[in-house]
Amino acid sequence: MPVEQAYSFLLSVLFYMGIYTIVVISLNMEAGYMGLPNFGKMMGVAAGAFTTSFFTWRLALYLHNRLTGEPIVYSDYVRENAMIVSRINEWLSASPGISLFLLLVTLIASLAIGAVIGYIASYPAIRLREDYLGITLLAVAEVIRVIGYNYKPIAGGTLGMQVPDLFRWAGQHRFSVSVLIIVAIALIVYLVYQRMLSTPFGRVLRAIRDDEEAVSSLGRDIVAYRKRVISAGTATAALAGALYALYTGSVIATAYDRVTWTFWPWVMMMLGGAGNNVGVLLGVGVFVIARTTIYTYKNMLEAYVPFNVVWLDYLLLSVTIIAILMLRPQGILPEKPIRTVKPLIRQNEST
Amino acid sequence: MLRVENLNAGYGKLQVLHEVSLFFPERKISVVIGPNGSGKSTLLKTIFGLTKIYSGRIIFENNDITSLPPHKIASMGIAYLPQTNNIFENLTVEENLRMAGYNLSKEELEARVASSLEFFPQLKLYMKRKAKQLSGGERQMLAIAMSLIRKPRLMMFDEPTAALAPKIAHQVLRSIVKLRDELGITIILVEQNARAALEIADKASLLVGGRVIFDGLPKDLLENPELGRMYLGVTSGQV
Amino acid sequence: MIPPIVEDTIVYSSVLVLLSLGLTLTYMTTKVPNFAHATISIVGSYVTLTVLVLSLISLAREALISQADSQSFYRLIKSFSFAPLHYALFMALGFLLGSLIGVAQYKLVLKPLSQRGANVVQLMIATIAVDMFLLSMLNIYADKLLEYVVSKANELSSIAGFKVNLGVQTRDFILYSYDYSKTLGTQRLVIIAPIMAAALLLALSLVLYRTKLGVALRASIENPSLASTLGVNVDKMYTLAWTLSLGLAGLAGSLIPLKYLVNPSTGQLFVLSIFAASILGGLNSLAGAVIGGVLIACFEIPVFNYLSSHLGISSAYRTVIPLLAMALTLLFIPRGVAGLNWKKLFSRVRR
Repeated sequence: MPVEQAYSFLLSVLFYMGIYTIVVISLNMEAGYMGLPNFGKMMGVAAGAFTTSFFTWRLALYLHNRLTGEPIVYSDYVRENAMIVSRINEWLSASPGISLFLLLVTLIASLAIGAVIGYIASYPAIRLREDYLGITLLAVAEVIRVIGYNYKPIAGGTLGMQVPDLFRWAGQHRFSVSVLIIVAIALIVYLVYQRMLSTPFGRVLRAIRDDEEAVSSLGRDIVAYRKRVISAGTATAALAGALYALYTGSVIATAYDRVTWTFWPWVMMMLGGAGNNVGVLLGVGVFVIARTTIYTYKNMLEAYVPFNVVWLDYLLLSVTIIAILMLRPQGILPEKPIRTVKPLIRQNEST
Repeated sequence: MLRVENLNAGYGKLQVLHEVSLFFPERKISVVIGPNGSGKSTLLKTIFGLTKIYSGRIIFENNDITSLPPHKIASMGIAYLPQTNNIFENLTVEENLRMAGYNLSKEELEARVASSLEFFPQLKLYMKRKAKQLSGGERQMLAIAMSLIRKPRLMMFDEPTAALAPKIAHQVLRSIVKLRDELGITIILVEQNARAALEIADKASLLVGGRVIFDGLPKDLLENPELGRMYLGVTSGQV
Repeated sequence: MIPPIVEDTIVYSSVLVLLSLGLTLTYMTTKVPNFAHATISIVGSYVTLTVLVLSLISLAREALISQADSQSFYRLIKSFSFAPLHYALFMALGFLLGSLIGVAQYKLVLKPLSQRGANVVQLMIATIAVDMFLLSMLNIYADKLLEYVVSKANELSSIAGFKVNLGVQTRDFILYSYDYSKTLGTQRLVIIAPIMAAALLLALSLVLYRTKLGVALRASIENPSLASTLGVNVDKMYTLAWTLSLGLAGLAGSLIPLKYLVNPSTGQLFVLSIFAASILGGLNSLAGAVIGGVLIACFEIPVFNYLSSHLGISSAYRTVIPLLAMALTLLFIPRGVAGLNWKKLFSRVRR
């Protein structure tokens, strides 16, 4: 494979790994650690994307108009969206400082909105049992998407909207730089979660998953934990949604569907091993690399497959998931039991 | 009729019964009592083939039934009546009785349902009613009636009077006596309600921690002050 | 003349009742809501399309054998309308194919996974995987069917000497025109759908409440361990339940394209309406499934229509209705309408 192709393959893999690591780490905390079947994971991602499409260009426009003194004029921001955004991009390509500022603000706003939506969505989580909870969260996520699809101001409705390119200042290295930033953020998220979940907090979550009654009889407020976990998880996913939107340059509600942003994260989590952050990385890695490979070699595969290669994706995916469930439901890296006492006992036994 | 020899059994790796040897004579009511967790229910489940047997034998009328699966044991004339979950709540009384005779021919089923209802005439009033609408005592009677349709020769009851008011519990126990007297059925009765059970017992065994502590006549158990105090809540002189 | 909104409601509620009956029945056996239910019904839709394609091709051949010219040929093709035989054929085949796929899903996926101790969430994911698998298959079939149609059309064109176009497409298809009856002044579906729904409902009730098999099925669903000690082959009963349920789905699906636009992914659009109907009715009650189906249909069409015209809500928000119904039911009356204590309600109302 020629170097250019290899490099773009690498960038694509790193991009998706970065984005999905953020999403799946948060799902792992909810479902893997706490046992909350979040089938509405997509709502966090959509929240981040919609925050970006709603908010970023407005802020950028405001700053542009204030700082350049040449205000951009428009009448219908949805129809003239492309014009507005391209003017903003021109301006931003010369202003890395403002771009990064906008990036920071967008990410913080996404975290905030994600947390709020997660908090509201956690209300059903309070009392429902597993399958009912999963379905309710699924329904809430779908409602959010329908609203995002139909209520124009959010994401341009059925047409979608472009978002300002906050990486344009990097010129020809735009893609490399953006992927770098995304991977860095994913790494930060991973480390934060790893830290957070190795504290007693993480142990409480697992305890709740294994025996709710026991934990609550010890005085812990289960409901409060659930609210916290879902808010944090949704906020984190929103981060991924915002980054995804900013990288791709546009938002259309149909891109934030339950297969891509709820189901696939579940598959990645199960593949790598739930309840286990290293497993998450593994699952995300295997999934992303496999899919990117299939996509890259699509044309070659056409020869071997008696039908349109486009469908191969879902076909292989569905069969793989069932295979995992049948043969190794605990995933590649099963959860390790919590070590609180050093294994001196084993040493003593062998003597 | 049923003999258990040096039985060691449990659930997976958890052993519950230790070297249990007991004999349950024909046409008699044998009562097994003991504190919670003593293995009484496990004993019945083990006889019925629902647990893991590590060693020992179970002999029913000269047949070794130790390693048989539950439905085979059932077909040999042994009935197991667990405490709960022994009827179909959403089916009517009539449908429950019919289900009990699922494998029987139509005529045979009709005949057996009729004779079962002779034994529990109260149920005739409730034929079209859903089982979940019956009271606790009526449900137990339905469960027993369903069991009778299989024409068992040995019936094993696991705490049939739990969660029943004393008066109703008494009625259920009286029906059990009737089963022995009128139908000649051998009964193994596991009970928490030790006093009431011992009153109708022909033979009594006391199980503690999965071991047989006492096996003999009910009155000997009741009159033994130490055992009485420890396990029956009886203080000396109160028998 | 029946107003269109009434026709709409009649057809939609008939279809939804058949679908939610099936979903509830499978839920009662495996305790898992089957995400693949809707896509299996779309298989039935493709059965109808296939019957249409084959009929049109044989009609076209006959026309060409009798040396028709291009004008009369097209008049003939355009005047094609489904005859009773066609309805019987695609409904029966839809039922058959649906039940086969349903049994396969039960025996090859859900039963083995249950035996391996999979939990509810894992089983739900398994049904999502089956859904994706069927989606791929439907997509492949749509492609292949189109190839077939095109090749036959070319064949016929060379015989005819003019361009033959059968006027069918395998994606985004709707078969309204073949169902229209001049004598009725409307679609035959408006009569057929409710009659089939009522008849099948009656048949199902008779089987469940008047036959030994039916009682055994209800017993197995309620208490499989007790049923098996009484000598019932519970697995056979479950297989029967899945046969009936997904047979109904396939049959309902065979009627769908007569009124609605169909694509392989159409199932994804209404699967949540089916869930809402079952949940609203109470996942453990078949009578509830019927009530739920009718209620959801009424909420989605006449009620929503009223709200949208009076409150100015865009009709695109119709999809929110079942989602809201689902979430609200799970939160406030989790056992559904069938689980409500009617006696208590009536006595309260009487006072």
